[in-house]
Amino acid sequence: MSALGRIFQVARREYKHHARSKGFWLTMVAVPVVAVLAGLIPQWVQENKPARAFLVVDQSGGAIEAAIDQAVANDTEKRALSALKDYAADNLPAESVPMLSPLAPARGEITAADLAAFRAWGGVEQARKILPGLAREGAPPFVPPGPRFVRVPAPAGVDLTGDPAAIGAALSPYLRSEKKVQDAAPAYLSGAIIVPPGYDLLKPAAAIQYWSVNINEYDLMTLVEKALTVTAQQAMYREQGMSQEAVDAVAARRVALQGFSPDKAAEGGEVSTKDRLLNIVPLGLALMLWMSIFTVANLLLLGVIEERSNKLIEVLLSSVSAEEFMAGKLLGIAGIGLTILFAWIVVGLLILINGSGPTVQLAYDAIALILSGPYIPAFAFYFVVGYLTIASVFLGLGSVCNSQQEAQSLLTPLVFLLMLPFFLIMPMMEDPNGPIATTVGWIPLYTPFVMMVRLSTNPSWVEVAMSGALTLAFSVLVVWAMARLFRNAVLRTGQPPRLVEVWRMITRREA
Amino acid sequence: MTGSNDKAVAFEGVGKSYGDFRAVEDLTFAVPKGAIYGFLGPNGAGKTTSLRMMLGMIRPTTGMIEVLGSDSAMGVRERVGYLPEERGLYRRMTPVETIVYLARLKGMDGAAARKRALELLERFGLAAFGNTKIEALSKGMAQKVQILGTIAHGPDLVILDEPFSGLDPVNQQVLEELIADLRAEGRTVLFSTHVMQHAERLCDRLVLIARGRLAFEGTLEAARSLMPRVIRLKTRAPRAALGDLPGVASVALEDEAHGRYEIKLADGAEGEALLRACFERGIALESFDMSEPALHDIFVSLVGDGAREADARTGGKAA
Repeated sequence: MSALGRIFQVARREYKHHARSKGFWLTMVAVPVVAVLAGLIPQWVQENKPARAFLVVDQSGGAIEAAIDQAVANDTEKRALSALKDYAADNLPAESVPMLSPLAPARGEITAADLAAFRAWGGVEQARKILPGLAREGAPPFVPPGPRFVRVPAPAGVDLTGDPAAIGAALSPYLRSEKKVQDAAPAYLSGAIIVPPGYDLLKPAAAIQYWSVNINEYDLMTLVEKALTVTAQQAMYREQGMSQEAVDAVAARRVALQGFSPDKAAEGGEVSTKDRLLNIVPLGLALMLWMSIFTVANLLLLGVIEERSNKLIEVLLSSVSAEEFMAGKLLGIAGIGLTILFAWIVVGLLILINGSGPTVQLAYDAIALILSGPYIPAFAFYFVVGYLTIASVFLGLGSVCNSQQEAQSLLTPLVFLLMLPFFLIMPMMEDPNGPIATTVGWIPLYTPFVMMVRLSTNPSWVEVAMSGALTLAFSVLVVWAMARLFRNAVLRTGQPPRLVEVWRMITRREA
Repeated sequence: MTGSNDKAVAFEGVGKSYGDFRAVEDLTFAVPKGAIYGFLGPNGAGKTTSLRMMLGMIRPTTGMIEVLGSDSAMGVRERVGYLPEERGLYRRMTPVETIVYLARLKGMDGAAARKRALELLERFGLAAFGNTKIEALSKGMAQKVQILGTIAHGPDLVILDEPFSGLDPVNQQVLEELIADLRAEGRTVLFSTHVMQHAERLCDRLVLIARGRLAFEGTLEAARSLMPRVIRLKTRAPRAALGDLPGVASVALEDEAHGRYEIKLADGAEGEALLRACFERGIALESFDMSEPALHDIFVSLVGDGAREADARTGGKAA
């Protein structure tokens, strides 16, 4: 049998062996599922958080309390409007959505003016009335989200006339959820806002106090702060003699910058959300590259340790040369890596096909972008080079270790070294052709990941070609060195070799 | 000896050094085709190193090795089967898969390898476990599977490193029969052992190494002839009368009360001649025992001191 035949046999066994393992299937299915869940869960939690009860003790007369009520009502309405727009995008045929109605997709943040228009249009009631006639057949009914916050009256028996500290203390059992604040949900108090006597928004003396046991929950605090700030600003404008109309006009005023790029000069230079994908998508690809390589490189390490520790290696090396064995393992495990990658893509596409909404649209744009650029051939090249380098290092490491524990101690610094470019992602993203990104891109070990990220920023082709050639040469060198180490170390028994010995095994002429 | 057709393996001045440490020095011997060849030596003598060089897994520092007419076992690896001393298999593979894999690595095609695996498992009483994962088998069973994996591809040369260790007496017997069968099929079997009884029963020729050097090479008879012949007898005759007999090198009294003596014969002297001389001189014998020296004694006499030294020198196993 030829060397290729033997390599194929080894590769085949590796592939079959790992393809039958539970870990393989888990990795294939779990990673995309976890990725999707990681994206959906925070949103779901945000949307499905039960309403929280709070109370206001306004000792200053009631104006602040009214302003807070208004802010909470606006918040609820804003959420309804936002949900309505999402619902319309998903369930209404595009032609039945009038351009300027509340059903039209949002352009930027929802403003007070948008809210006013929504109210004038008829609000949630109007939506409930007309949506069944407009929505596609089979569309679910529109359910507006409930309020995030519900103001409850102060429980009977709590003295609200003392100073804020005394009131806070009196509310303590309610804030600690030891006592219900009302029978209906939300039954427990999550926060209390205490406005000191004589508080004046325009000339605040003492601060408004926010009492809660959960000091990390800022939602209500932020909402109230923002609303009172606007109220205070408007009151000050009016004090300066501005009419209410003028104040509203000021409040509704928004200034936006439009991004332009010389790279888009042909289309007028305007930069869209789609173009911003140019930054995100290659980063995603680089991450996928790194993950797929790392997931399987570890299999090589564990595999060689198994073969060494149960002495299988000796039987195998009487049939195949160390180099053929190594090549077979690299090939078989690469097959596993590619299968996992393929599965991720398929699962990702399946999720996309069954999804809808703006995120899905964005994903389709991302796919179009990937197909339009040099990303696929680049990914293939960087996968091969990155895989060969990292996988052969893991193999070499396995050939000198007797147990997983031994390997672990050597692996930690190695993984840290290999993860380095990911610590540099932020500066590289901000300035993809700047000194950090350029320098790291030339380090052969990192070239595949860094250049993958930078590819969308049009680095000079000379740089791409030269760094590509360099990383390829480096990869060949590493594979050669690891093959020598593997051949010389894999049959050894006893203590793992010291670094000097490893160096000697790689460099000495006679094996 | 290069190029000779009747040799399965030939070592010519082979040495292997690791830095300053000489694991094997100037080893020269030849394994005739179709023979069962014993590879004997104490722990740390360089047996495994020699076998690994024979298999082309490590390269000798000096000398030449020829295996089945090729200057490297790697060139003829499909005709060689090897069972290493320390054994192991993929725990999550089944015996059938294991044997098929090992045979396919040696160039058999898939269907033939499978057929052969099933045959062998059947013949060695493992048919019922053919599809059980190795990790669920007993150690002895797994070892049998590995031996079957070594011979499944029908190698011309089978190299077994300590094949008997770890097997119970019944399976040791099975293995002895297997080795004899292999010879009957015209294959060459080379095995290392330190259990002399196996070598004694099976080997046509043997090589003895100690401290990395050749201590003996030849047939069992030749090995025996190296030892002084010892005769144990029982007589009422006085010790002096025994000492005067022809061909007697020395007489030792074992048990005075019963008149038991141990007589060492001089080189070339025959036991029969001594027996005849006793009759002629009227020495009444109550018993006369001239059993041949056991390989065990030869082993101890040839490498005994060396073995102790070697252990002290390497502190256990050489690479």
